[in-house]
Amino acid sequence: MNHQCRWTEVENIFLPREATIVRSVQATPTEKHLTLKMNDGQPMVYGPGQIVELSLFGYGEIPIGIASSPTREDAFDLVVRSVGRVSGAVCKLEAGDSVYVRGPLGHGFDLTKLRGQDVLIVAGGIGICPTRSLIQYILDRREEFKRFVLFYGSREPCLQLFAGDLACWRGGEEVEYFETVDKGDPTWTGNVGVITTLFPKVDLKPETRAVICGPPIFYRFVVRELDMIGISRENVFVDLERRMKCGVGKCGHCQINDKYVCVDGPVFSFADVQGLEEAF
Amino acid sequence: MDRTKSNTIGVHFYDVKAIDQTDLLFSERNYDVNYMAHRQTTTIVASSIQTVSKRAFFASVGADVEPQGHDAFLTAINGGYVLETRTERGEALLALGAFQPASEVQIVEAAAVNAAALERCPEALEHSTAAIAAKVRAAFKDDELWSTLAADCFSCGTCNTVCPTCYCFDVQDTWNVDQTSGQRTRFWDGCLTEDFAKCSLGEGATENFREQRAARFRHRLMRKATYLNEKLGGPACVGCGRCSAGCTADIADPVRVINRIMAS
Repeated sequence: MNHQCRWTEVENIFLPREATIVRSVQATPTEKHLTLKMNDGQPMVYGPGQIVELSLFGYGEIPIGIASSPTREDAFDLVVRSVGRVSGAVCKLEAGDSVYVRGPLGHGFDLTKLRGQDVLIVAGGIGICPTRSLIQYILDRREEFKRFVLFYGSREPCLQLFAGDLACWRGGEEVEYFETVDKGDPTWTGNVGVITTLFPKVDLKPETRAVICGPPIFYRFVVRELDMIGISRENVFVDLERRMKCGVGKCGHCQINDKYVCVDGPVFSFADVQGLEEAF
Repeated sequence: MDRTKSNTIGVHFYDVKAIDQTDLLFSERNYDVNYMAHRQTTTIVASSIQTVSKRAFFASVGADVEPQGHDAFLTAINGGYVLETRTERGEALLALGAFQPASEVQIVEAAAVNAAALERCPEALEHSTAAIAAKVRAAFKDDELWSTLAADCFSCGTCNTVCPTCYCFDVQDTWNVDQTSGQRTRFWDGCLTEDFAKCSLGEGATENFREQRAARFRHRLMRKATYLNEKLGGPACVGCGRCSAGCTADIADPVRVINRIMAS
Protein backbone atom coordinates (compact mmCIF):
# COMPACT_ATOMS: atom_id res chain seq x y z
CA MET A 1 0.00 0.00 0.00
CA ASN A 2 1.10 3.47 -0.68
CA HIS A 3 1.50 4.50 2.94
CA GLN A 4 4.15 6.46 4.71
CA CYS A 5 3.79 4.44 7.91
CA ARG A 6 5.60 1.26 8.87
CA TRP A 7 3.45 -1.83 8.60
CA THR A 8 5.43 -3.79 11.14
CA GLU A 9 4.04 -6.02 13.82
CA VAL A 10 5.63 -5.24 17.17
CA GLU A 11 4.68 -5.76 20.76
CA ASN A 12 1.46 -4.24 22.06
CA ILE A 13 2.41 -0.97 23.73
CA PHE A 14 -0.70 -1.14 25.90
CA LEU A 15 -0.09 -4.58 27.34
CA PRO A 16 1.15 -4.37 30.96
CA ARG A 17 3.37 -6.88 32.76
CA GLU A 18 2.63 -8.30 36.18
CA ALA A 19 4.78 -7.23 39.13
CA THR A 20 4.72 -8.28 42.77
CA ILE A 21 4.87 -5.81 45.62
CA VAL A 22 7.87 -7.01 47.62
CA ARG A 23 7.79 -4.17 50.16
CA SER A 24 5.02 -1.77 51.14
CA VAL A 25 5.46 1.13 53.55
CA GLN A 26 2.85 3.70 54.53
CA ALA A 27 5.23 6.67 54.17
CA THR A 28 2.78 9.43 55.10
CA PRO A 29 -0.96 9.37 55.85
CA THR A 30 -1.71 9.52 52.11
CA GLU A 31 1.40 8.12 50.45
CA LYS A 32 2.50 4.54 50.07
CA HIS A 33 6.04 3.55 49.17
CA LEU A 34 6.01 0.35 47.13
CA THR A 35 8.90 -1.78 45.93
CA LEU A 36 8.04 -3.88 42.88
CA LYS A 37 9.64 -6.85 41.20
CA MET A 38 8.64 -8.03 37.73
CA ASN A 39 7.10 -11.50 37.77
CA ASP A 40 8.43 -12.57 34.38
CA GLY A 41 12.02 -12.35 35.61
CA GLN A 42 12.80 -9.54 33.16
CA PRO A 43 13.86 -6.64 35.40
CA MET A 44 12.73 -3.12 34.53
CA VAL A 45 15.58 -1.58 32.54
CA TYR A 46 15.30 2.17 32.93
CA GLY A 47 17.09 5.43 33.46
CA PRO A 48 16.59 7.93 36.29
CA GLY A 49 13.56 10.15 35.64
CA GLN A 50 11.60 7.69 33.51
CA ILE A 51 7.99 6.81 34.33
CA VAL A 52 5.81 3.73 34.30
CA GLU A 53 2.07 3.28 33.89
CA LEU A 54 0.96 1.49 37.03
CA SER A 55 -2.27 -0.40 36.68
CA LEU A 56 -4.75 -2.38 38.59
CA PHE A 57 -7.33 -4.19 36.48
CA GLY A 58 -10.81 -2.98 37.19
CA TYR A 59 -9.54 0.41 38.30
CA GLY A 60 -7.27 1.74 35.56
CA GLU A 61 -3.80 3.06 34.91
CA ILE A 62 -1.83 5.97 36.34
CA PRO A 63 1.56 7.43 35.43
CA ILE A 64 4.14 7.30 38.22
CA GLY A 65 7.78 8.36 38.16
CA ILE A 66 10.20 5.65 39.21
CA ALA A 67 11.54 6.57 42.66
CA SER A 68 14.68 4.45 42.77
CA SER A 69 17.89 4.21 40.80
CA PRO A 70 18.66 1.42 38.32
CA THR A 71 22.00 1.11 40.15
CA ARG A 72 20.16 -0.55 43.04
CA GLU A 73 18.49 -3.97 43.33
CA ASP A 74 16.57 -5.57 40.46
CA ALA A 75 13.38 -4.21 41.98
CA PHE A 76 12.19 -0.62 41.71
CA ASP A 77 10.29 1.83 43.89
CA LEU A 78 7.12 3.79 43.28
CA VAL A 79 5.45 6.20 45.68
CA VAL A 80 1.71 6.46 45.21
CA ARG A 81 -0.35 9.24 46.73
CA SER A 82 -3.94 8.24 47.29
CA VAL A 83 -5.88 10.85 45.34
CA GLY A 84 -8.29 8.99 43.08
CA ARG A 85 -9.80 5.70 42.00
CA VAL A 86 -6.63 3.94 40.87
CA SER A 87 -4.21 5.41 43.40
CA GLY A 88 -6.72 4.84 46.18
CA ALA A 89 -7.00 1.16 45.29
CA VAL A 90 -3.24 0.75 44.89
CA CYS A 91 -2.63 2.31 48.31
CA LYS A 92 -4.69 -0.46 49.90
CA LEU A 93 -2.32 -3.14 48.60
CA GLU A 94 0.33 -4.82 50.72
CA ALA A 95 3.48 -6.87 50.16
CA GLY A 96 2.69 -10.01 48.22
CA ASP A 97 -0.08 -8.40 46.18
CA SER A 98 0.39 -7.93 42.48
CA VAL A 99 -0.02 -4.95 40.20
CA TYR A 100 0.59 -4.40 36.49
CA VAL A 101 3.18 -2.14 34.94
CA ARG A 102 3.94 -0.73 31.48
CA GLY A 103 7.29 0.84 30.93
CA PRO A 104 9.74 2.32 31.34
CA LEU A 105 8.30 5.23 29.37
CA GLY A 106 9.46 8.71 28.42
CA HIS A 107 12.77 10.50 28.54
CA GLY A 108 14.45 10.74 31.91
CA PHE A 109 17.49 12.76 32.95
CA ASP A 110 20.22 13.11 30.34
CA LEU A 111 23.11 11.85 32.43
CA THR A 112 25.66 12.90 29.81
CA LYS A 113 24.79 16.49 30.66
CA LEU A 114 25.20 15.93 34.40
CA ARG A 115 28.31 13.73 34.62
CA GLY A 116 31.50 15.57 35.52
CA GLN A 117 29.50 18.56 36.72
CA ASP A 118 28.33 20.17 39.95
CA VAL A 119 24.70 19.08 40.36
CA LEU A 120 21.94 20.80 42.34
CA ILE A 121 18.61 19.02 42.79
CA VAL A 122 15.66 21.07 44.01
CA ALA A 123 12.68 18.90 45.00
CA GLY A 124 9.36 20.00 46.43
CA GLY A 125 6.71 17.75 47.98
CA ILE A 126 6.14 14.57 46.01
CA GLY A 127 8.75 15.88 43.52
CA ILE A 128 11.29 14.12 45.72
CA CYS A 129 10.04 10.76 44.35
CA PRO A 130 11.08 10.94 40.69
CA THR A 131 14.24 12.87 41.62
CA ARG A 132 15.18 10.15 44.12
CA SER A 133 16.00 7.98 41.09
CA LEU A 134 18.70 10.51 40.23
CA ILE A 135 19.74 11.19 43.84
CA GLN A 136 20.42 7.51 44.38
CA TYR A 137 22.16 7.24 41.03
CA ILE A 138 24.54 10.08 41.88
CA LEU A 139 25.22 8.67 45.35
CA ASP A 140 25.93 5.23 43.88
CA ARG A 141 28.29 6.62 41.24
CA ARG A 142 29.53 9.54 43.25
CA GLU A 143 32.89 9.70 41.47
CA GLU A 144 31.17 10.46 38.15
CA PHE A 145 29.83 13.76 39.47
CA LYS A 146 31.45 16.74 41.16
CA ARG A 147 29.73 18.70 43.89
CA PHE A 148 26.24 17.41 44.79
CA VAL A 149 23.75 19.69 46.54
CA LEU A 150 20.17 18.66 47.36
CA PHE A 151 17.30 20.93 48.46
CA TYR A 152 14.08 19.33 49.68
CA GLY A 153 11.00 21.30 50.66
CA SER A 154 7.86 19.90 52.27
CA ARG A 155 4.71 21.48 53.59
CA GLU A 156 5.07 19.96 57.06
CA PRO A 157 7.61 17.68 58.80
CA CYS A 158 5.09 14.81 58.93
CA LEU A 159 4.79 14.91 55.13
CA GLN A 160 8.48 14.28 54.50
CA LEU A 161 9.07 11.11 52.49
CA PHE A 162 11.92 8.59 52.69
CA ALA A 163 12.72 9.02 56.38
CA GLY A 164 15.56 6.49 56.14
CA ASP A 165 17.17 8.34 53.23
CA LEU A 166 16.80 11.69 54.96
CA ALA A 167 18.69 10.41 57.99
CA CYS A 168 21.57 9.34 55.73
CA TRP A 169 21.54 12.52 53.67
CA ARG A 170 21.51 14.77 56.77
CA GLY A 171 24.65 13.26 58.18
CA GLY A 172 26.28 12.20 54.95
CA GLU A 173 29.44 13.47 53.34
CA GLU A 174 28.34 12.53 49.83
CA VAL A 175 25.62 15.13 49.47
CA GLU A 176 25.23 18.65 50.81
CA TYR A 177 21.63 18.29 51.96
CA PHE A 178 19.36 21.19 52.94
CA GLU A 179 15.71 20.88 53.88
CA THR A 180 12.85 23.15 54.76
CA VAL A 181 9.19 22.96 55.68
CA ASP A 182 6.51 25.57 55.01
CA LYS A 183 5.13 25.05 58.50
CA GLY A 184 7.04 23.52 61.42
CA ASP A 185 5.81 21.52 64.38
CA PRO A 186 7.08 21.37 68.00
CA THR A 187 9.67 18.73 67.11
CA TRP A 188 11.06 20.56 64.08
CA THR A 189 14.32 22.41 64.64
CA GLY A 190 15.26 22.92 61.00
CA ASN A 191 14.57 25.64 58.46
CA VAL A 192 11.03 26.97 58.09
CA GLY A 193 10.09 28.76 54.90
CA VAL A 194 9.56 28.23 51.18
CA ILE A 195 12.17 26.43 49.10
CA THR A 196 13.89 29.64 48.04
CA THR A 197 14.96 30.30 51.66
CA LEU A 198 17.54 27.52 51.21
CA PHE A 199 19.49 29.29 48.46
CA PRO A 200 21.36 31.73 50.76
CA LYS A 201 22.73 28.75 52.70
CA VAL A 202 25.05 27.59 49.95
CA ASP A 203 27.34 29.19 47.43
CA LEU A 204 26.64 27.71 43.99
CA LYS A 205 28.71 28.25 40.88
CA PRO A 206 27.12 29.46 37.62
CA GLU A 207 28.36 26.26 35.90
CA THR A 208 26.16 24.12 38.17
CA ARG A 209 23.60 21.81 36.50
CA ALA A 210 20.22 22.18 38.21
CA VAL A 211 17.30 19.75 38.35
CA ILE A 212 13.87 20.92 39.50
CA CYS A 213 10.80 18.88 40.37
CA GLY A 214 7.90 20.14 42.42
CA PRO A 215 4.40 21.57 42.34
CA PRO A 216 3.49 23.87 39.41
CA ILE A 217 4.05 27.08 41.40
CA PHE A 218 7.55 25.95 42.35
CA TYR A 219 9.31 26.33 39.01
CA ARG A 220 9.16 30.04 38.43
CA PHE A 221 10.47 30.86 41.91
CA VAL A 222 13.31 28.35 41.74
CA VAL A 223 14.30 29.43 38.22
CA ARG A 224 14.44 33.02 39.45
CA GLU A 225 17.00 31.96 42.08
CA LEU A 226 18.99 30.00 39.50
CA ASP A 227 18.99 33.03 37.19
CA MET A 228 20.45 35.13 39.98
CA ILE A 229 23.27 32.63 40.43
CA GLY A 230 23.88 32.87 36.70
CA ILE A 231 23.04 29.26 35.83
CA SER A 232 22.29 28.97 32.13
CA ARG A 233 18.74 27.83 31.39
CA GLU A 234 20.25 25.22 29.05
CA ASN A 235 21.65 23.65 32.21
CA VAL A 236 18.37 23.64 34.12
CA PHE A 237 16.31 20.45 33.82
CA VAL A 238 12.68 20.25 34.85
CA ASP A 239 10.69 17.09 35.55
CA LEU A 240 7.08 17.89 34.68
CA GLU A 241 3.78 16.36 35.74
CA ARG A 242 0.71 16.08 33.56
CA ARG A 243 -2.15 13.65 33.01
CA MET A 244 -0.09 11.08 31.12
CA LYS A 245 -2.91 8.67 30.43
CA CYS A 246 -1.41 6.43 27.75
CA GLY A 247 2.28 7.13 28.30
CA VAL A 248 3.13 6.51 24.65
CA GLY A 249 2.34 9.83 23.00
CA LYS A 250 -1.08 9.02 21.58
CA CYS A 251 -3.99 9.90 23.88
CA GLY A 252 -3.39 13.64 24.02
CA HIS A 253 -4.05 14.35 27.70
CA CYS A 254 -0.53 15.39 28.70
CA GLN A 255 0.13 17.89 25.93
CA ILE A 256 1.90 21.15 26.67
CA ASN A 257 1.34 23.12 23.49
CA ASP A 258 2.74 20.72 20.87
CA LYS A 259 4.83 18.60 23.25
CA TYR A 260 3.71 15.30 24.74
CA VAL A 261 5.09 15.17 28.29
CA CYS A 262 5.00 11.35 28.31
CA VAL A 263 7.30 10.88 25.32
CA ASP A 264 9.08 14.22 24.85
CA GLY A 265 9.60 14.38 28.64
CA PRO A 266 8.81 14.17 31.48
CA VAL A 267 12.29 15.64 31.88
CA PHE A 268 12.95 18.68 29.71
CA SER A 269 15.71 21.22 29.48
CA PHE A 270 14.17 24.42 30.81
CA ALA A 271 15.46 26.23 27.71
CA ASP A 272 13.33 23.92 25.56
CA VAL A 273 10.04 24.50 27.39
CA GLN A 274 10.30 28.01 28.80
CA GLY A 275 8.79 29.43 25.60
CA LEU A 276 5.77 27.12 25.76
CA GLU A 277 2.86 29.13 27.09
CA GLU A 278 1.21 26.12 28.73
CA ALA A 279 4.31 24.80 30.51
CA PHE A 280 4.36 26.88 33.70
CA MET B 1 -3.79 -9.78 16.11
CA ASP B 2 -6.77 -11.18 14.21
CA ARG B 3 -9.34 -8.81 12.87
CA THR B 4 -12.26 -9.44 10.60
CA LYS B 5 -11.70 -7.84 7.24
CA SER B 6 -13.93 -4.90 6.51
CA ASN B 7 -14.64 -2.58 3.63
CA THR B 8 -15.37 1.11 3.91
CA ILE B 9 -16.97 2.45 0.77
CA GLY B 10 -17.77 6.04 -0.20
CA VAL B 11 -15.04 7.87 1.69
CA HIS B 12 -14.53 11.42 0.44
CA PHE B 13 -10.97 12.37 -0.46
CA TYR B 14 -10.62 14.75 2.49
CA ASP B 15 -11.51 11.94 4.89
CA VAL B 16 -8.86 9.77 3.26
CA LYS B 17 -6.42 12.58 4.07
CA ALA B 18 -7.63 12.46 7.68
CA ILE B 19 -7.08 8.70 7.80
CA ASP B 20 -3.57 9.25 6.40
CA GLN B 21 -2.91 11.50 9.38
CA THR B 22 -4.09 9.00 11.98
CA ASP B 23 -2.15 6.24 10.18
CA LEU B 24 0.99 8.27 10.66
CA LEU B 25 0.23 9.36 14.23
CA PHE B 26 -0.62 5.86 15.44
CA SER B 27 2.41 4.25 13.79
CA GLU B 28 5.16 6.79 14.47
CA ARG B 29 7.30 6.63 17.61
CA ASN B 30 5.23 3.98 19.38
CA TYR B 31 3.43 1.63 17.01
CA ASP B 32 -0.18 1.10 18.06
CA VAL B 33 -0.95 -2.49 17.06
CA ASN B 34 -4.62 -2.17 17.95
CA TYR B 35 -5.23 0.73 15.58
CA MET B 36 -2.99 -0.72 12.90
CA ALA B 37 -4.62 -4.15 13.03
CA HIS B 38 -7.94 -2.52 12.17
CA ARG B 39 -6.30 -0.41 9.54
CA GLN B 40 -4.52 -3.31 7.86
CA THR B 41 -7.75 -5.27 7.52
CA THR B 42 -9.80 -2.35 6.21
CA THR B 43 -10.18 -1.82 2.49
CA ILE B 44 -11.10 1.74 1.68
CA VAL B 45 -12.93 2.72 -1.46
CA ALA B 46 -12.94 6.49 -1.79
CA SER B 47 -15.60 8.21 -3.81
CA SER B 48 -16.41 11.42 -5.60
CA ILE B 49 -18.45 13.96 -3.65
CA GLN B 50 -22.09 14.07 -4.67
CA THR B 51 -23.57 16.23 -1.93
CA VAL B 52 -21.27 18.92 -0.56
CA SER B 53 -21.70 19.84 3.12
CA LYS B 54 -23.07 23.33 3.66
CA ARG B 55 -20.02 24.13 5.80
CA ALA B 56 -17.30 22.40 3.76
CA PHE B 57 -14.04 24.13 2.87
CA PHE B 58 -11.93 21.17 1.73
CA ALA B 59 -10.77 22.95 -1.43
CA SER B 60 -8.91 25.68 0.45
CA VAL B 61 -7.18 23.70 3.19
CA GLY B 62 -4.00 21.67 2.67
CA ALA B 63 -4.67 21.63 -1.07
CA ASP B 64 -1.17 20.39 -1.83
CA VAL B 65 -1.59 17.29 0.36
CA GLU B 66 -2.61 14.27 -1.74
CA PRO B 67 -4.88 11.58 -0.26
CA GLN B 68 -2.94 8.30 0.06
CA GLY B 69 -4.51 5.56 2.14
CA HIS B 70 -7.26 4.23 -0.12
CA ASP B 71 -7.44 1.12 -2.24
CA ALA B 72 -9.73 2.35 -4.99
CA PHE B 73 -11.55 5.52 -6.03
CA LEU B 74 -15.11 5.49 -7.29
CA THR B 75 -16.41 8.45 -9.29
CA ALA B 76 -20.08 8.86 -10.27
CA ILE B 77 -20.42 9.87 -13.91
CA ASN B 78 -23.39 9.98 -16.26
CA GLY B 79 -24.83 6.50 -16.49
CA GLY B 80 -22.45 4.77 -14.10
CA TYR B 81 -19.20 4.88 -12.17
CA VAL B 82 -15.51 4.95 -12.91
CA LEU B 83 -13.49 2.78 -10.52
CA GLU B 84 -9.79 3.52 -10.34
CA THR B 85 -7.74 1.02 -8.39
CA ARG B 86 -4.86 2.19 -6.25
CA THR B 87 -3.59 -1.00 -4.63
CA GLU B 88 -3.58 -4.74 -5.09
CA ARG B 89 -6.49 -4.93 -2.69
CA GLY B 90 -8.34 -2.43 -4.81
CA GLU B 91 -7.46 -4.45 -7.88
CA ALA B 92 -8.98 -7.53 -6.27
CA LEU B 93 -12.32 -5.73 -6.00
CA LEU B 94 -12.60 -5.72 -9.79
CA ALA B 95 -13.31 -9.43 -9.72
CA LEU B 96 -16.40 -8.81 -7.58
CA GLY B 97 -18.32 -6.74 -10.14
CA ALA B 98 -19.19 -6.68 -13.82
CA PHE B 99 -16.65 -3.97 -14.65
CA GLN B 100 -15.64 -2.97 -18.14
CA PRO B 101 -12.55 -0.98 -19.04
CA ALA B 102 -13.38 2.73 -18.84
CA SER B 103 -13.17 4.72 -22.03
CA GLU B 104 -10.93 7.76 -22.43
CA VAL B 105 -14.05 9.94 -22.38
CA GLN B 106 -15.29 8.38 -19.15
CA ILE B 107 -11.89 8.87 -17.49
CA VAL B 108 -11.83 12.51 -18.54
CA GLU B 109 -15.39 12.95 -17.25
CA ALA B 110 -14.46 11.41 -13.90
CA ALA B 111 -11.56 13.83 -13.53
CA ALA B 112 -13.89 16.70 -14.36
CA VAL B 113 -16.46 15.53 -11.78
CA ASN B 114 -13.80 15.49 -9.05
CA ALA B 115 -12.37 18.85 -10.10
CA ALA B 116 -15.86 20.38 -10.12
CA ALA B 117 -16.48 19.27 -6.51
CA LEU B 118 -13.66 21.57 -5.43
CA GLU B 119 -15.56 24.53 -6.88
CA ARG B 120 -18.65 23.75 -4.83
CA CYS B 121 -17.28 24.44 -1.31
CA PRO B 122 -19.48 27.05 0.37
CA GLU B 123 -16.67 28.23 2.66
CA ALA B 124 -13.00 28.96 2.08
CA LEU B 125 -9.85 29.85 3.95
CA GLU B 126 -8.27 32.91 2.46
CA HIS B 127 -4.60 32.34 3.23
CA SER B 128 -1.87 29.77 2.77
CA THR B 129 -1.27 26.97 5.28
CA ALA B 130 2.08 28.51 6.26
CA ALA B 131 0.67 32.02 6.72
CA ILE B 132 -2.20 30.67 8.82
CA ALA B 133 0.12 28.54 10.96
CA ALA B 134 2.38 31.49 11.71
CA LYS B 135 -0.36 33.97 12.54
CA VAL B 136 -2.53 31.60 14.58
CA ARG B 137 0.50 30.54 16.62
CA ALA B 138 1.47 34.18 17.17
CA ALA B 139 -2.05 34.88 18.48
CA PHE B 140 -1.61 32.42 21.35
CA LYS B 141 -1.31 35.04 24.06
CA ASP B 142 -4.23 37.14 22.82
CA ASP B 143 -6.43 36.17 25.77
CA GLU B 144 -9.19 38.57 24.80
CA LEU B 145 -9.44 37.01 21.34
CA TRP B 146 -9.76 33.45 22.65
CA SER B 147 -12.15 34.44 25.43
CA THR B 148 -14.37 36.13 22.87
CA LEU B 149 -14.24 33.19 20.46
CA ALA B 150 -14.99 30.67 23.21
CA ALA B 151 -17.56 32.76 25.09
CA ASP B 152 -20.48 30.58 24.01
CA CYS B 153 -18.65 27.23 24.24
CA PHE B 154 -20.56 24.54 26.14
CA SER B 155 -17.42 22.36 26.46
CA CYS B 156 -19.48 19.55 24.98
CA GLY B 157 -16.69 18.22 22.76
CA THR B 158 -18.89 17.82 19.68
CA CYS B 159 -16.22 19.50 17.55
CA ASN B 160 -13.75 16.82 18.71
CA THR B 161 -16.17 13.94 18.32
CA VAL B 162 -17.11 14.67 14.71
CA CYS B 163 -13.60 15.63 13.61
CA PRO B 164 -11.94 13.03 11.35
CA THR B 165 -8.46 14.11 12.49
CA CYS B 166 -9.18 14.21 16.24
CA TYR B 167 -7.79 11.04 17.76
CA CYS B 168 -7.36 11.67 21.49
CA PHE B 169 -8.73 8.94 23.70
CA ASP B 170 -9.29 7.81 27.24
CA VAL B 171 -8.96 4.28 28.61
CA GLN B 172 -11.41 2.95 31.18
CA ASP B 173 -11.70 -0.33 33.04
CA THR B 174 -15.12 -1.84 33.51
CA TRP B 175 -16.19 -4.80 35.64
CA ASN B 176 -18.39 -7.63 34.52
CA VAL B 177 -21.21 -8.54 36.86
CA ASP B 178 -19.21 -11.57 38.07
CA GLN B 179 -16.81 -9.10 39.75
CA THR B 180 -13.80 -11.13 38.69
CA SER B 181 -13.50 -10.27 34.99
CA GLY B 182 -13.86 -7.16 32.92
CA GLN B 183 -12.57 -5.05 30.07
CA ARG B 184 -10.02 -2.33 29.52
CA THR B 185 -11.44 -0.25 26.71
CA ARG B 186 -10.33 2.73 24.67
CA PHE B 187 -12.94 5.46 24.40
CA TRP B 188 -13.03 8.70 22.44
CA ASP B 189 -12.05 11.74 24.44
CA GLY B 190 -11.91 15.38 23.46
CA CYS B 191 -9.75 18.29 24.53
CA LEU B 192 -12.74 20.65 24.75
CA THR B 193 -14.21 18.76 27.67
CA GLU B 194 -13.62 20.29 31.07
CA ASP B 195 -11.70 17.41 32.64
CA PHE B 196 -9.41 16.55 29.72
CA ALA B 197 -6.20 17.88 31.33
CA LYS B 198 -7.38 17.73 34.93
CA CYS B 199 -5.36 15.87 37.55
CA SER B 200 -6.39 14.97 41.08
CA LEU B 201 -4.24 16.28 43.91
CA GLY B 202 -6.19 14.53 46.64
CA GLU B 203 -8.67 15.67 49.28
CA GLY B 204 -10.92 17.03 46.54
CA ALA B 205 -8.23 19.33 45.19
CA THR B 206 -7.43 19.30 41.47
CA GLU B 207 -5.01 20.88 39.04
CA ASN B 208 -6.53 21.56 35.65
CA PHE B 209 -3.83 22.41 33.15
CA ARG B 210 -6.41 23.81 30.73
CA GLU B 211 -9.06 25.10 33.07
CA GLN B 212 -10.54 27.92 30.99
CA ARG B 213 -12.86 27.24 28.06
CA ALA B 214 -10.80 29.73 26.07
CA ALA B 215 -7.63 27.70 26.71
CA ARG B 216 -9.32 24.51 25.52
CA PHE B 217 -10.82 26.21 22.46
CA ARG B 218 -7.41 27.65 21.63
CA HIS B 219 -5.71 24.27 22.05
CA ARG B 220 -7.98 22.71 19.44
CA LEU B 221 -7.32 25.49 16.96
CA MET B 222 -3.58 25.28 17.57
CA ARG B 223 -3.68 21.52 16.99
CA LYS B 224 -5.61 21.94 13.74
CA ALA B 225 -3.69 24.87 12.31
CA THR B 226 -0.13 24.78 13.62
CA TYR B 227 1.19 22.19 16.07
CA LEU B 228 1.13 19.13 13.82
CA ASN B 229 1.84 20.78 10.46
CA GLU B 230 5.51 19.87 10.32
CA LYS B 231 4.90 16.24 11.23
CA LEU B 232 1.94 15.83 8.89
CA GLY B 233 3.20 17.92 6.00
CA GLY B 234 0.05 20.03 6.17
CA PRO B 235 -2.61 21.19 8.61
CA ALA B 236 -4.46 18.74 10.88
CA CYS B 237 -7.75 19.90 9.36
CA VAL B 238 -9.14 18.60 6.09
CA GLY B 239 -12.01 21.05 5.61
CA CYS B 240 -14.91 18.64 6.01
CA GLY B 241 -17.00 21.21 7.88
CA ARG B 242 -18.41 18.72 10.40
CA CYS B 243 -17.34 20.72 13.46
CA SER B 244 -18.96 23.83 12.01
CA ALA B 245 -22.19 21.96 11.35
CA GLY B 246 -22.14 20.05 14.64
CA CYS B 247 -21.30 22.86 17.07
CA THR B 248 -24.32 23.66 19.23
CA ALA B 249 -23.33 27.29 19.60
CA ASP B 250 -21.93 27.49 16.04
CA ILE B 251 -18.57 28.85 17.19
CA ALA B 252 -16.29 25.99 16.11
CA ASP B 253 -16.06 26.80 12.38
CA PRO B 254 -12.31 26.89 11.59
CA VAL B 255 -12.95 29.11 8.56
CA ARG B 256 -14.59 31.84 10.59
CA VAL B 257 -12.06 31.60 13.41
CA ILE B 258 -9.00 31.50 11.17
CA ASN B 259 -10.20 34.17 8.75
CA ARG B 260 -10.95 36.40 11.73
CA ILE B 261 -7.46 35.91 13.16
CA MET B 262 -5.91 36.50 9.73
CA ALA B 263 -7.88 39.73 9.33
CA SER B 264 -6.84 41.07 12.73
